[in-house]
Formats: sequence, C-alpha cells, structure tokens
Amino acid sequence: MLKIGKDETKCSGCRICELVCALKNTGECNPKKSFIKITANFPEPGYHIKMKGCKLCGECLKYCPTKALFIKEGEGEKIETAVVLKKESSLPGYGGKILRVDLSTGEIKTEDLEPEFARNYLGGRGFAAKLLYDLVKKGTDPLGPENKVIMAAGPLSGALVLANSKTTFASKSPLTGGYGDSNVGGHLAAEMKYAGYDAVVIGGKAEKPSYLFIDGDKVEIRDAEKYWGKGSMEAEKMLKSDLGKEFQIAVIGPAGENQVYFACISHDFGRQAGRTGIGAVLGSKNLKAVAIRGDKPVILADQKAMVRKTKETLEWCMKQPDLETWQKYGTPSVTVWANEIGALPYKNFQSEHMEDVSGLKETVMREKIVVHDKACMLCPMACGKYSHSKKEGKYDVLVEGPEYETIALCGSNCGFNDIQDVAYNNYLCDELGIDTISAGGVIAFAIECFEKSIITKEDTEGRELKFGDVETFEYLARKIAKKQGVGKVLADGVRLASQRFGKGSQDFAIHVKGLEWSGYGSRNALAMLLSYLTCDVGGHHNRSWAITSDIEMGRELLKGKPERVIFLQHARPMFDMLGACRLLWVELKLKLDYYTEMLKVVTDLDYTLEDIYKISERVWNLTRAFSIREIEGFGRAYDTPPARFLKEAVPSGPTKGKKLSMRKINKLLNKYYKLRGWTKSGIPTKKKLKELELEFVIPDLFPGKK
Amino acid sequence: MIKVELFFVPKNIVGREEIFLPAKNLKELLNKLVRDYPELKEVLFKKGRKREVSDHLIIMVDGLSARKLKTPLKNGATVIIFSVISGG
Repeated sequence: MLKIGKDETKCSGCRICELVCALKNTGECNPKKSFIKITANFPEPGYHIKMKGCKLCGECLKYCPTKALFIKEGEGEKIETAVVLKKESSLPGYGGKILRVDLSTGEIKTEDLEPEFARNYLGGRGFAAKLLYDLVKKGTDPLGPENKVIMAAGPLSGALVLANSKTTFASKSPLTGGYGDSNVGGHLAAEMKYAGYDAVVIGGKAEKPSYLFIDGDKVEIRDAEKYWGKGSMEAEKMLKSDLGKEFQIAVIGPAGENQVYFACISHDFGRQAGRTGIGAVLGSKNLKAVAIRGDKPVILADQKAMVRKTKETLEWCMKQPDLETWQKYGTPSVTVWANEIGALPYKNFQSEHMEDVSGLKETVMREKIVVHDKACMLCPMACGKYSHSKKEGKYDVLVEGPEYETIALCGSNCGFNDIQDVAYNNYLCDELGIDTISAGGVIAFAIECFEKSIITKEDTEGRELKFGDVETFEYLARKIAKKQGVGKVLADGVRLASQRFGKGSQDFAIHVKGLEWSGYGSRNALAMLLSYLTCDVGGHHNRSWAITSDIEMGRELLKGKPERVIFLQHARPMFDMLGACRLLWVELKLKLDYYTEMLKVVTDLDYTLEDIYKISERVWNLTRAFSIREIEGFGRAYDTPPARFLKEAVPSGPTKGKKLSMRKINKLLNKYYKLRGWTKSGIPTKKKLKELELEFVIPDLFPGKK
Repeated sequence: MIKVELFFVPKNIVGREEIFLPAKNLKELLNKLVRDYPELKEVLFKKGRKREVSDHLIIMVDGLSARKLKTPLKNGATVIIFSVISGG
C-alpha cells in the first residue's frame, strides 16, 4: 500500500495537488472537492499539508513540483479517473456572471456574462477596460462615489493551467487622472471563478467602513470597523481568522483609507496590485476589503485535454535548466544584471548604475533573509520569496519579497545597498498599503528635494533626510500614509508634489503621465524608453519590457524599435487578459501558442495568436481612448520623459555620458503613432477605431464631428 | 585574458558570476566554458550542438550584442553572457 511522505518545508503553496486530486477523484475542476488541503501559515512562513479521505491513488505525487509530496513506500492504488463533470455551459471556462455592487444604496445584483463580450474582450484586463469605459462617465472624480473599481479574472483562472491566477483591478486613477489598472498574482482570480464570477464591479460609497463578503451566491456588504486602521497584512490575518482560511482577501492598508494617490491593494500576505492608486479608490468608498470564496467547479470545454496538456507542460517546465534559477532567486536575480548593463536606478535616477551593489545581490538575499519559497496558484516556479529581516534594536519583520522592482526603487533608488534594510522598507510599504515602486520614487524625490534645500528641516520636524537611511525611509513612508506634514504633499505622487514644491523640482520628478517610473533607467535603451513613454497607465515597465531587445538590436538604434514595442504591448497584455503569469513564457520557454491551445481546451474559443493580438490592440486603443476622454490635451504631450533624462547625462557606469534627445524621441513617436494608426498627436483615428470595432468611442474622441 | 560576466542560468550553473579565460574569439571562449562546465552546453548552444549560439541566450562583447561564433575578442575584453528573461 502506498505511503505518502510529506515535507512541509518544501511546499510552496501552489496547490496543484488540490486541483489534480479533485479532477482525478471527482471529475470536478474544483479544489474544494480535493482530499488534500494546503493552507498557509502566514504571516508565519510555510504551509500545512492536510489529507482527509485520501484514496491513496498517488496522483498528486506525480505533479508536486517541489517534491513536498513523495512516495515513502509502495505504489499508488489503481483507481479509475472520475467521470468528467458534464454540465451544459454556453461559456465553458468562464464563471458566467458579473457581480455589481453599489455601496451607496446597498444594491447587489448579478448579470450574465454575454458571450459576445467574452469573445471580444477575453477577460481580465480586457473585461476591466471595457466595463470601466462604459460605466464611468466622463469627468468623474476618481475619489468620488461615481468612480468604479473593477476586479476581473481571466478565462484560464481556476482551470488546471499553470500559473493562472492573475486578477486585474481597474479604475479611473487618482494618480494620473486617466485609465489605471494593476494586477496581482496569488489565488484571488481562481477563487472568483469558483464563486462563479468573471468580474466584480464596485461603485458608490459605503456610509461607514465596510468590506465586501462573497461566498458564492451569498454576497453582503459587512461592517469593517474592527479592521479599519489596521495594516494590510494584519487586516488580512484578522479576516482569515474570522472567516476561514479558504477565503481569499484583497485588502487596503491605512494609506488606502487615507486616499494616498499611490495606495495599493494587497493579497496573500505580500502580493499587491500596486500601481495607479486603486487602493485609494477603495478607501474613498470606505471599502477595506473584498473577501471571496466559492465552491463551484469550473466547467471545461475539454477537460481531458486540459489535464493531459498541463501534465506535459509541467514535465517540460521541470526539465528546464532555467527553473532552478528562478525557483531559488526569483526576480531579485535581475538586480546585479540591471546594474551591469546600466539600467539600475540610483538616487532618484541621478544615475543608472551603482558603484557597489554587493549588498543587494540575489545570493546575499537568499542566504541572509529568505526563509521560504512562495508560489501563486498552480505555479511550479514559486518565484516569490518569503523573508525574515531582522536587525537588533531596529526591526524584526516577515515580508514577501523584496522583488526586483522593490529592490530597485526602495533600494538603490533610495541609496540602499543592504538587502535587510530594503526588505524592511518593503514591509513598511506593504503594511501601510503603498505601492513600492511609486513609494521608492516619491521618497527618493523627497530626499533629493531636501539635499537641494527645496524642502527643509522646517518641513520635516527638524529631521534630516538622507539617502540610504532606514529612519528617513520609515519617517517619510509613515508621514505619506497618514498624510501628515510633508507627507500630505508627497501622498499625491511626484508630479503633483513637484508642482507644489516648484524651484526646479519638476525636472527631477521621475514619472510618465503622473505614474512614477519603475525600475529600468532608459537613457541608453530606446525601446525600453518608448515602452515607458507609451505605456497606457504611465511610467510602467510591464506592458512592454524591451531592454533585452535594446541590447540585441543596438541600444541607440531607432530602427525596428517601435515595431518591437507594439508587438510586446500586444503580446504581454494578452497574459493579463487570460489571467496567466507571463514568467513561464520566456523564462521556461513556453511557446505563445501554448496559451491559445489552453484557451481552446478551457473555453472552446478557437483563436489564433493573431486573433488575440487583435483583441489586445482593441483593449490598448480603448484604454488610450479612456485617458483621452478624461484628460484635456492627452496624447503626444503626455508621452514624454522626465526633464532629467533630457538634461542630465548619466554620470557613471556603462552608460556614462548618455542622455536623451527630443529629436530621437520624436522620431520614435512618429513611427510608433503611424504604425498604430494614430494621428501625429497620438490619437487613434476613426479608421483605426472602426477597424477594431470601437465605434462607440468615436463620439467621445471626436465630439461634434461626423 | 577575457573577463566573462555571467547572469541568470549560466551563473547558476557555474556557481560564480565572474570568470577570467584566455580566448581569441567567441567560439573558443564558449568551448572553454563548456569544457569546464559541461552542463552549459545545452544553455549556450542551439540544441546543444556547438554550431550556433542558443536563441535563448544573449551575449555582449564590450557592451555590444554578439551572436557570431567567429566574433574576435581583444585581450582585456568583457563578455557578458545571460539567458533571456521576460522581465518582472
């Protein structure tokens, strides 16, 4: 008889075993039916593996990517695979419902997901963008009750597809005034699907602190007085303790409650939908959290094919030499590399290289602070690192991370070369509920303002602001979250803060469209630069990460760069629509076709990659249109870099002496707009909008013209 | 002597981020790396056959991208080798 061994120290919490068990034994794609349960110990590191009613078939052992489950002795019992659950569904793979909640009136209703909507916008970011465009009226105050927060899952989420649980949050951004979205991994999107929802639309404003309780069809707006004022992780822990560990939580911290413009949404003890300030929108609605759970199965178009393909894909992933690197170190592997190629931000992007980066190395991080690997739903890579950072008499914290972006912005960009300090900065941002990228940008900006006497000790309660100083970081982070003193100005982000401070500080306010620039200096990387300038939400790297293209194509060459950026801006957001993580694509060499194959077996949508890129282009133009509608003069004037990158050459490192020129930028933008079918001002033409079936946008972009 | 800086997968296999080796061109350099670290063969070359550089690899010679095996290396050159990533 089979004896199953368990090594909980190796479990990364990916829960592949749960879903495989349910599929084998009950025929349902539904982890609640599993005989094995993985529960997190957070905030303490690690996971519990519990088995109840196990038939000892050993199926889970075949899939466990970390060998936390293994054969102690014997062989698995030969049992028949359960009959596939047959249930009629006009939209297999989808939850089938959109939940709409009005916090002002208390009205809660569901509507059916329209097949045409699903076909045209796929899910995740696509659903969020279209719902937001339709439901938010022109001129809406981002922090007013009329603004909406859309939470959307993709068609692959909840199915047995590797790394499949990305949730998109979208809203009119308080930070940029335009379209904003951000996505988070973890387990949330899958749970939305098990609850039966593809999207949740949250509008209005609750009278008092509240949270949204969703347990399948049971939806309630509940009192959140006891959670209000608590840190993100503390509140998540309390909610899990009160409701049960099966609930997946999205929660804001004090910064969200206080409507800091770059407040984030946290989930799974340390993952964030960080960018564009949607945490502030939830705060403005008096909504502390969304707690969601469900026990419905995801109905698949071809369940057997899905299981077979996923098994093959997992075997492929496990054979890749790249897996170990990413499992062991995660995105912090990028830090030293970024420094060596001259892209690592240093002291508010004064430089793109740091003389000594030894204290931020991924190997140092692994050795000094990492205590456990942490996976998102169904991910064999487990690139998330759970860390314990402790300095006697200073701090002693558990935190997920830091990821590369946090190391770059809350580390080198704020003058740190000590991974323990960076992990503490990371913890502060997470618990207070501010985006680490924007926070690192804002704090570095404030320190430089202090060095240049633009702000003085009169503004800082007599305190000196210094780069590389944990006390400075903590002081500013807390002041920002509470909107006190100088923090009240900084809480609006670098664009508005620099307008308030004046005295030339606009030149070193590092942002695009009001969103703080993320972790890749681009004064000598023109494809990466173009990616930042044209990113729909502002200074963000994730839509098109093109810096290796720069290296391959020649960093200062223009030729081919706009084409490359547009390709990436269609391919990468595809993942955000499907609800999948893109790290398995390049890092583990999964072909992009794999995702169309999985879409077919999960949903029966028979799309080619070109079809999906077309949908991606539709969404790209729609989010651009949203910002054009909302912001006077939006277009080319907003696709510009910070003045620092034009005026100041990089002072050191491999890109020493490099700065940008408007001549080159204009050439890049001219070509980019032409290829996109946009005017020279960066506005989509009517022809392009019609081609993309976005006719409904035309009256908003061309008012009064026929 | 050539300074070789390794990142991501090659670095993890070699266990070091920096190696110094004599080599006249890229072919010689990569072959010497495979000689010392056989596991690298699959990572450095297309289908592990030593004829072409892997599509999954980027090599920079003194800051410029290089894919041709006959690329000459000057004494004192810096060669950066890394596996392709999609960025975070």
